[in-house]
Amino acid sequence: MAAPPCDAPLTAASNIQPFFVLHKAAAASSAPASRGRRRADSSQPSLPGPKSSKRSRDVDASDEDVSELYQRLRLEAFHRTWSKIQSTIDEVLRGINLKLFDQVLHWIQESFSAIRAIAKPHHSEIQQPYPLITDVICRRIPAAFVLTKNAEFVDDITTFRDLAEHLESNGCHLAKLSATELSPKNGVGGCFRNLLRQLLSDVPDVADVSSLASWYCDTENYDQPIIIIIDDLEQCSGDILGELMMMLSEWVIKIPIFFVMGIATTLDAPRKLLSSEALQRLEPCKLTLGSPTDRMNALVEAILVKPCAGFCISHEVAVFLRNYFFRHDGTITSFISALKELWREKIEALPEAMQKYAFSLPSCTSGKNSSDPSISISEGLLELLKLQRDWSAVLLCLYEAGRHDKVQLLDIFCEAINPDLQNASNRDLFSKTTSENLSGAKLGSGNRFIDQAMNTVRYLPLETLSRVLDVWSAHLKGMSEISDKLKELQSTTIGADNVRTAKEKWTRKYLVPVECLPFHEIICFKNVGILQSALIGNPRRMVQLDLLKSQSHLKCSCCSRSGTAVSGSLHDTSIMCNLAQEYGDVINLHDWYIAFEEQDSAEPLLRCKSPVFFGCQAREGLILCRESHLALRDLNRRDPVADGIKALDSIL
Amino acid sequence: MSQPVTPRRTTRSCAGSAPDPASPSSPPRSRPKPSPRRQLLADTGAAVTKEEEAEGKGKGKRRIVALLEALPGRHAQATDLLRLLAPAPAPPLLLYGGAATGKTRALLLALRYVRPRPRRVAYAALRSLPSIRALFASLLSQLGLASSSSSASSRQRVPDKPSDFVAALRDALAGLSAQGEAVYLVFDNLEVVRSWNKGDQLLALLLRLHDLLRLPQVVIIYVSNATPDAYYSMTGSIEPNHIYFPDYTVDEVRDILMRGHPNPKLYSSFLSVTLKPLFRVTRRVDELAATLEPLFRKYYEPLGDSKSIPEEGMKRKLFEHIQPHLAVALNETFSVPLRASIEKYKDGSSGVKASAKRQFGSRDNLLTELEFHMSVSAKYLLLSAFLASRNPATLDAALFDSTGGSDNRRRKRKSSQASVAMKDNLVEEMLMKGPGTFPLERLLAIFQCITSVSEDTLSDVECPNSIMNGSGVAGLMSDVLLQLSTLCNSNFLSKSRSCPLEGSARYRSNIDEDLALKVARSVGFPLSKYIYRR
Repeated sequence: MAAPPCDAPLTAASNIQPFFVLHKAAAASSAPASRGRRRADSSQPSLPGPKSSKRSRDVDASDEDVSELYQRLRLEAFHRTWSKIQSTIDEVLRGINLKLFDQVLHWIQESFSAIRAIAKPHHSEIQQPYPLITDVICRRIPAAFVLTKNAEFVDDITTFRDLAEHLESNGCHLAKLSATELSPKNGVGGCFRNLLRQLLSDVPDVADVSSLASWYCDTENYDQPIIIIIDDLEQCSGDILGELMMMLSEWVIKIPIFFVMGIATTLDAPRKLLSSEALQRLEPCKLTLGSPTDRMNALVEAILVKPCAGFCISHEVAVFLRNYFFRHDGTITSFISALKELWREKIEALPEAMQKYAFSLPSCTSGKNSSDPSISISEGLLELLKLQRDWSAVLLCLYEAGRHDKVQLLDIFCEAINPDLQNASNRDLFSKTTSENLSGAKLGSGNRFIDQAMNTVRYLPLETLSRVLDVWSAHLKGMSEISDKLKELQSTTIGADNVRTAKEKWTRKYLVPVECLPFHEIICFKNVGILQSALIGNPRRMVQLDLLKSQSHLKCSCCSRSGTAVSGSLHDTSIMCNLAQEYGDVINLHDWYIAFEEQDSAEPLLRCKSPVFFGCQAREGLILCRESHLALRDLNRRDPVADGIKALDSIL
Repeated sequence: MSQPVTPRRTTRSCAGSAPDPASPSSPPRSRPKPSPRRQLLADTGAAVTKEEEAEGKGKGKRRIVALLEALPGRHAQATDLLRLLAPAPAPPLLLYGGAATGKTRALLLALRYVRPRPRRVAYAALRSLPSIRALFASLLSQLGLASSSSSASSRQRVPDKPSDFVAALRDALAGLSAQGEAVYLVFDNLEVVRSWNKGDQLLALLLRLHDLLRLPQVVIIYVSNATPDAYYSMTGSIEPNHIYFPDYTVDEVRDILMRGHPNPKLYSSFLSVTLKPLFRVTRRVDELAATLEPLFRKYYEPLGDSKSIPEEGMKRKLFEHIQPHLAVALNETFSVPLRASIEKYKDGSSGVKASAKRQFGSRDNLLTELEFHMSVSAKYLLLSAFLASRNPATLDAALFDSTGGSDNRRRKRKSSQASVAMKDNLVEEMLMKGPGTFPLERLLAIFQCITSVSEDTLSDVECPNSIMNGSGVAGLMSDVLLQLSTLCNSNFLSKSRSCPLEGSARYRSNIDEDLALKVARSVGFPLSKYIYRR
């Protein structure tokens, strides 16, 4: 994946692309093909940077060097600006997580001092194999359940990684156990070994708790708790985890080991997973992460509303993103990757937009400025930026009011960016009385969230209202006329209706959707199709392309000719993929493989230099192929190209 | 005073028969912060030492008194222990009784007071040993000389085979017991061995250890949750003496809980209210202590601090205060408290609550009700999985026809008595069986049906002026399998392992009806119409 070194800290987030079912790919693979070579070669999101430039160089070498240079410059510009956006995203997310991290740390310190208050065992006591005899009955391990509030787990991978770093930097000993370690296959012994390996530098051959105890008695290790982070509790084997808990709970006074466990769904998960005996050994505590919607609001505010990135999105795109978030994916990760795709596309398209300026942009000709061709682009852009700033300030004010009624920023944003809003409100001015009756229903549905936010102001209690006004004044700092009015409102203890009317006035004035502004083509991203294919089609297309062109990855001498024809020495899956493309309908993979197998036995396909491709190895490839859709977690929503290559590698 | 016999100390006390200040029962030096209980033990320990010096007659009596002091409600067991442990050529001993009845504690304390002093105690808690080899290694290193406990030498000597282990054990023990004093081998949590890999063989080995070793100075002690019957039917070895630790009575539990409490008056009034009802739920001291602790904090909340002593009137008030919390605690086996700081934070952010409830969007309601975020298509998939697990497959055609099916069910109502009874049986059977399994195809078919029914209403509500609606990309079908894996990962669905070539993996939904209804409510899906009841 095009992971420039700059966004290494968030690779897990930015690398992730959703996968799709193979037999649904037809539309997606045909769509990019129609958009010409440049797009297909240079802007594939999932090719590593150097590779992509190399590939484009291969193609463009015959054309001209200049375009290649531009291409490189563009790529550079993209990486540079994206890294800026990425760091903003990181900051926002970290800010949200930091609250949780501090709570976790606080909880750890509390639990640690509580345990030390029971007994402060001497080093020699710790190393005794038998339990301490205390009067306090204490065999309960402090355990924090972190509710991640999202059934989809991808977003939280980075959260837990950051949490581990945060705790480690605060002096805790840290170990991470994942579902793969806590599986019946490993058993509690293997799991415990893994734990020791993360803590001890030298794990003895026969490891038990006493070796952990003697490690803990070292002066540099003593006096700090050991934290075990399990980020996906739901996927662990309850038996193994329960056994581990029972085992460690016997030692908890001597070796303070705490658990921090991530739960994607509800607190029922540990209840269902663990035996009651194991549950009795826990001293639980619940912590919650910010919900995905909270994070989303913060991200939208930082990236889309505030002009951080220097680009904005059209209504269509915003609605697409919102629907994608709520209906399909629900992860911040895919939202970020969508933003990245947008930004890349914008950079690609920017020169064209500038070029178009020579022939005058439609927004300039159609608008009221059409009579004035002398308006310079720089002035226009400055004006645009100023309008954008005002717009976002007013929008944030709206949100500030609306959040008291649980209005989400993304919803308001989608509405505010709707070009119909402007038209509607203009019409509203003309025929106020009739529009109430005639198009009331339509307008009502159109302005639902903005209206709701407006109405909230009316119901707000006075102290909340003054708090809201304070926030408003912070948002509206740059806009002199409004802030004066605001001060007036603040000084006089006002009725809520005053505020509402004032607010309505500003909204009408400043909440002009970007698509109604001149020059918006330069900074506004409108192309939903690209985004769609990037979010939905691309990963799938990658897998397909890799299968169709497996020769280029395998580079075996026998299949070296780069024709599209199916050669007998191809890997079964590739052949099948090729044939399926020609066939053009849903196929039964299993039957086809059976048919291939019969074909093989009739006429041995040993022409290829790598005969291992066939037989059981081929089956593995098939399983990978099929499973990649069913068991997506196996591929972990990683980089599709790398996965495709890995799939082929594993076949080799 | 939790450490009666470190090997080195005992060796020293053996070498010089004179009373040794460093002997195990002497008060600990340089203990940082002795708890009141430890102080007590230390005092009695000192008394014993003095006693030894005087070599008075009432020595044994004093010991028993000290031991009984430390073991409330275990009079008979403590005297038995001292009697059965004392003469060194003793048959094996089995301590059994329910969890948290003080078996290990009694044993460890008794070993501290037993005379003549044990030369060495090797203790193996089988629960904290992950493997058989770890057990062997742990025992041998505890029995070996002090120098052999270094990791390098123990690494070489860990035997793999039971026979090697027995040989090594005999070697180690023979050297120790030659000097005439007893060596004790303790196997705690014996019952867990049964679930180990090759646990039966190990259990047989451990139980026959006395016969195998044939060393009179070695006393083998087993501690177990399970009764002796669980073990001795399987071997032909001699039956050990056993001591039964019955569950504590209410009064004993009260005594135990009261020990060393800073404010006994307040706590006893608290226990008089809460202990009896809770005791009906569980008799385990550890569980009771864990449940009582947060309740006690609630109890003295109106008083302000835990130091004050309430008078009669206040006690009644406190009782009324604790009553509802007690009722909750009785029904809850596992309660997870939310951290207070978060509650504060939440209060700050969600200012207005009651104002305009009807205006709340459906999605927001879901977030508060459902507690976690799930995409709409995942919700529909979950619902269809729930239906597929819940309803018999034969009804699918009737339920999910083109109209959404609800009117077909009306017709079914009027049926004969016999068929109703038969259906009742069927339903009962289904409930007994639990959720059924279903193939992927059926899940997808149901999913398609219920989404096609609700798609129109959904798109109206969700995105009023979206252009995307018709295009199919925003439709819910597009990435079903992706959602499926999400659901499997969050344990809402379980997938049976089967040959992926056949594609015959079957799924089963693990969610209960409450959650399903919550999910259905959040997307506005009339789930109850589709659940087959009778």
